[in-house]
Formats: sequence, structure tokens, C-alpha cells
Amino acid sequence: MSGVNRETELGLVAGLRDGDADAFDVVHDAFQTQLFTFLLRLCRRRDVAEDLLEETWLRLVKHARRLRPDTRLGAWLFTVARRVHVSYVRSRVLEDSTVAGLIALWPYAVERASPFEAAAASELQRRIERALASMPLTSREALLLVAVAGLDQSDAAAVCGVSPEAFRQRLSRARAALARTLAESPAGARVLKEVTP
Amino acid sequence: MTDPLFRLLADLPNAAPDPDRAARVRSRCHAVLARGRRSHRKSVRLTDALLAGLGAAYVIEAVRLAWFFSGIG
Repeated sequence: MSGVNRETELGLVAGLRDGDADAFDVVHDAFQTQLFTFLLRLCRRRDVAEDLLEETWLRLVKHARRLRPDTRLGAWLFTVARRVHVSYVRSRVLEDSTVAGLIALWPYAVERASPFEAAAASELQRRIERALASMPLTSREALLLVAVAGLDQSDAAAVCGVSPEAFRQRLSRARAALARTLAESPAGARVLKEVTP
Repeated sequence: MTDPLFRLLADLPNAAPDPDRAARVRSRCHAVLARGRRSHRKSVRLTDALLAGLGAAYVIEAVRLAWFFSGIG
């Protein structure tokens, strides 16, 4: 858990199991921004990300009494957030199946910009945001969980429901794809040259 | 994190949800926790009462049988 040692985390889990609102507040403050950023980068819509975040927190409190005493809160919360997002995507696929057929007939590509692009501090960050937004969902979530949310690879593998080895390969492919996309622009290639040995 | 590309990703800006909505969600979660706590206490009280009742019935039956077999009843 970010900034909280394992002993404190176990205490927070015990508090949640007892229905302690103070323990919930500590967990909420520790993960709120991380979870929202993760969800927003997955779905790219603020209103949807807020709905999914609310659902994630509600699932935590509804499930609090049944949490295992040794639960790793980060992995648990990101697993739920990811599942909530997958359910959302599935429902959208059903709803949009007719619309998608019509959009496919449109001669120009329809791209949705990442909401982070406007907030990016530099051209490089904008490029990274654009590259991330254009990646397949599985690659994006692998990069976000490890590099942005700071989960270790075994926790991130558990969040995605794959073996650590499969996750390692997925992450490596995602990293290579991101580097390739960045290298396509002269500015990205320059920065890549600076930061990669 | 040693990978330079991952460091670039880690430096990307975060986003925060709408504070009013976040406060509403937090208080909704508090209410769910409080409700769970109350219903847990209630079920513990019910279980305790049930166990006490069963224990009392067992003791009464044991005493009655003891009297019966010893010829007092």
C-alpha cells in the first residue's frame, strides 16, 4: 500500500472488517487519486470514471466484513476497479453494437482524446498520454498498474487475473509498443534516447 | 523503479474526482459500514440468545432425565 507499511495495512483491514469509518477514511485518502487516475486512463471519460470509482468504494464497504485478514488493499481495490471497468465495457459493447456498425461506415477515423492531454505539463507528456490512449486495453492496464499505480508485478498479475510470467510478457510487449510509438516522433525519439541507456 | 520509460509514466499528472461527489460517496460508504455493524451486532445478539435458549433446554432435559432414571420423578 502506498506510503503505509504492511503492519498498518493489516490494522486497516481489521478496522474495515469491524466496520470502522476511520479505517475506511485512511484507505480512501490513500487510494482515491490513484484509483481515479487509473480508471480515467482506462475509460477516458470523467463522468464514467467517477461512476466506476463510486462502485469500487461501495463494493469495498459491502464486502468489508468478508475481507481476509491478510488482504493486500492495493491489489484488492485495483482488482475491483478493473472488474468494474470490464463490466462497463461489456455493457457498452452491447449498447454500442448497432452504433459501431454505422460509425465503421464513416470514412475518417474517430479518436477520443485522453482527458489528461490538456493537463500534460509538456509536449512529451502529451505524446505519452496520446500513445497510452491509443494502446490496447490489456497493454494500457499493465503499464498503468506497474508504472503509474506502483503495484509490484505479482500484485499486478493478480489484478489482471493472469500468471506472473504471462503478466511479465504482457508488460514487456506493452513497454516495447509504447517505446515504438514514442520513437515515431522526432521529439519522442530524442527523449527516448536521453532516458534509455 | 529503475526503468526510465516507467519513470516517465510515473511522472504523468494525476487526476482527482469532483470533491463534492467524493464527499457524498464517502458518507454513503460510512452509512453502509454503520448499517453492516448494526446488523452484525443484531445477529450476534440473536445467536447468543439462541445458544442460551438451547443450553437452558439441554440442562432442563438433562435434569428431568436424571430425576426420571433415579426414580425421583
